[in-house]
Amino acid sequence: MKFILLLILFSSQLMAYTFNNNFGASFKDNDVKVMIAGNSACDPDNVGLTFGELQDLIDPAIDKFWNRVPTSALRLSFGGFTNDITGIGSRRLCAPTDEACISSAPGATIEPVREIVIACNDLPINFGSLNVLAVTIPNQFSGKDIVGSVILINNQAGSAFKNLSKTDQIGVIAHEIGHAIGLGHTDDKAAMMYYRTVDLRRALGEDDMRGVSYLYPMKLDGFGLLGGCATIEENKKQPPSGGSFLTMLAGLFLMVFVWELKRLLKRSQARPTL
Amino acid sequence: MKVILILTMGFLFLLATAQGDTNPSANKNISFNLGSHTEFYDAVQNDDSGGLRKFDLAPTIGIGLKWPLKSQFLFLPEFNWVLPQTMEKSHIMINTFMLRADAGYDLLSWLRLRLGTSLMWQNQQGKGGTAQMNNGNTTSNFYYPDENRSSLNNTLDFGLESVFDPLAVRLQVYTYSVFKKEQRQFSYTVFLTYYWDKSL
Repeated sequence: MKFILLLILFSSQLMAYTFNNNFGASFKDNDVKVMIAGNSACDPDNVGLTFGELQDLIDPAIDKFWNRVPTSALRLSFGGFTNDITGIGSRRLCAPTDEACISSAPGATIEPVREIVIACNDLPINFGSLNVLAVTIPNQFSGKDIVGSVILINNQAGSAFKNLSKTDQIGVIAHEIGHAIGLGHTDDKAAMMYYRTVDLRRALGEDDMRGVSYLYPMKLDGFGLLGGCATIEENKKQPPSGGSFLTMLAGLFLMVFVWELKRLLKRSQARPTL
Repeated sequence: MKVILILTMGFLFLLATAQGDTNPSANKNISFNLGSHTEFYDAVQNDDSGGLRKFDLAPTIGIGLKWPLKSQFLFLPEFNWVLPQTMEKSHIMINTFMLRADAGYDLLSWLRLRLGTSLMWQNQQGKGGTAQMNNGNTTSNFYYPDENRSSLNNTLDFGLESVFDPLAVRLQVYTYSVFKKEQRQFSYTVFLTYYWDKSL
């Protein structure tokens, strides 16, 4: 027993992931689309991105990072373009509970969106500084579910975004997608959700993987064949799947394992000592 | 991946069709495991300059059975527990449990091959709370998880075990998302196993 306690004491101490809302909100569906606001062209002198180049940042931000966690059921994909939000390139981004935004004139703020929408935006109040590369807010909820999130890239003259390498720009987009799916910052410099860019970003950190697995847990993937379901609560509403069958099989296996273990121990005790 | 599948099928075919008596050198007995588990080899960034994690010291304990089958084949079910990992002042506690079974083949008197599968259950218990952290030019409140949630995965496993009776050293590799290339990851555990031979 002392040995086990010692092991527990020496087990790893990790940083901790956080959420950007106090109720651990996540998208209800595990398949989430990331779209570009087609009516928010980035200024070539400020951000220097065409829509094609922006998509070239989104694809690796999704595939190289967030879609690579096998313990998470979240699957992000590029969903094309949307022109639904008029004037998204120059309006204010607010959280649904932001008093200042609620009291502002109708049409002055970006209305709630569905899925994840990325746009270039040049309104200084959204960023506070030219060094703030981008901002993100889940701006529509339904109960504990995120319905839509907005990511704004700093499109002001002199924005620091333009001077980043392509690798860093991908990292920035991946970081903002992290916020869009519900994650907050962490103190761990190795994590994608660290608040600053780092020297080189090659993969998610442990905090990121744990966080996305908590928000979108995998519920038996059948070696990758079954895909995942959603959160625990949602799973209860779903009919039994292949995953449920495997769970039953595992339960049966555990019962046989414990029964055999007990039987062997009993036989060992019953044997007379020589 | 096709190669892995062909090897797996071949191994299972050999197991099913093996001729001969029950492995005479293998008694049915209980094993105790002690090891260190590394999750997602070479796929987790562990510093700010792009370094990827190759080894993690995550103490793991377990108990298993050694069940002789035909010829040099064995059935090796076991249950392992990666001891709790706590995240930043215990705001989050993580437990990983592995319910697994291998088919073993004694290639040499001291070398055993294993092929099997695991049910990986990773549980995260959040205790809630807030943290004030940098956010752009200011600081903001961020929130720790306050619920108990679990991920479940099936893995395809390979093991190489060096047996020095009653002890054994083993490298056990777990393949996540075998059939989904873009999401496939490998974890591994290095085990020291004690086979408790009570001539059962």
